[in-house]
Amino acid sequence: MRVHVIYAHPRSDSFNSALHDIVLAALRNAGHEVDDLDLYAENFQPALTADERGAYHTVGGNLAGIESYVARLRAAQALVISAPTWWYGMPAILKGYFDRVWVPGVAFHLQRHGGAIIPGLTNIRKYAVVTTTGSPWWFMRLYMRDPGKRVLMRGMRRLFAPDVAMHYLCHYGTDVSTLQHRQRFIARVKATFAAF
Amino acid sequence: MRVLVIFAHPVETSFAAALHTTVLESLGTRHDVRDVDLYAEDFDPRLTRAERLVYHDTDVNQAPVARYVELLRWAEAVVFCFPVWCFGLPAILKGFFDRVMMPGVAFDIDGALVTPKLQNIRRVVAVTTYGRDLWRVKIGVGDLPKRQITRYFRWFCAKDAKVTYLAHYHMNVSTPDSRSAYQQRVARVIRAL
Repeated sequence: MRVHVIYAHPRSDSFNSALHDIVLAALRNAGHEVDDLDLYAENFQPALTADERGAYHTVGGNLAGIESYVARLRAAQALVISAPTWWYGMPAILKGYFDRVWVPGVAFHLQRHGGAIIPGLTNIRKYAVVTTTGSPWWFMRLYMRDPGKRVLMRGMRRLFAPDVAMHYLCHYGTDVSTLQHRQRFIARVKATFAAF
Repeated sequence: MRVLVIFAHPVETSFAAALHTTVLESLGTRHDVRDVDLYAEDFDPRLTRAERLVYHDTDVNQAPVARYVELLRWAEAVVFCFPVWCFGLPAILKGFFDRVMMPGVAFDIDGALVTPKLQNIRRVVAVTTYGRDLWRVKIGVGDLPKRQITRYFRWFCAKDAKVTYLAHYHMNVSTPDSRSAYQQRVARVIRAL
């Protein structure tokens, strides 16, 4: 399978960087063709510009400057997001990737009178998120109701193939986690991608 | 009141820019206002490697964003003015939170114990627009930007801080009437600050 991995963390010695390496190795071991996009390494510019906003709703005309990202997305059969959760959402660099690249005509098609969107990425049949949160799971789920998860899972699902398989792997409570806890999570990540 | 306005939209002719103007006009001269236009300032939303390395070192972590830290500590009220894109804050505003709301500024952290630090902020208003309709945003994806402002940002502020979240949902099918009614609502709330 052609798997497009989108990764965002500025530090190569971080836990998220280690998770990213583990994902890549597990996918390659399992025989998948991996196309890795490291947003920080690419120096990706996340702020949607005035020109891009002006052309945002012009299908086809809204691709200037993002053609290669769109081509990589369209060539993929599976998608993996590897990034920490900051401020209950994705890091700005990753949010900007969605703002700028997942435009109408690529990720979705809008209907004229505001009905349900029509999916644009039906080529994606498998999807996984590997992330971490500083806060413990009970705070994230019970108080905050995991809004970052809902965007990355429910919000995305309707853009992909109708029978897309989805995985959300989150290491909660990273601020105070133990080595053992992190190792257990790594084992879970390895197992998921070995069987991806 | 000392009011900090934080605005995020790249296009001057946008509805978001019009709302930003409404906010500034409605604040008038009764308040001491500082206006931060993130696009005009060319704010870089990416938390850098260097910043992440010293993120928890409160002696030095503020240096790259000192101006914004000072403004947050100065403000008694904060007004956020932004569109919702892809179910979230525009990257440039998300990056403002990633880079500026850090240990020693927004909160102190001691192991698992986190204490809020922006007690000077007593009033928070968000002025925003969504392309999609309310039930799709709320039921479907949980309204992340609303939670980030009304639950999370608010948590760092004074205990009794009041938050008003003003949103025009379903911009994709909005009308001149719906937009003007919303603009008037924004003006009313801001004038009452």
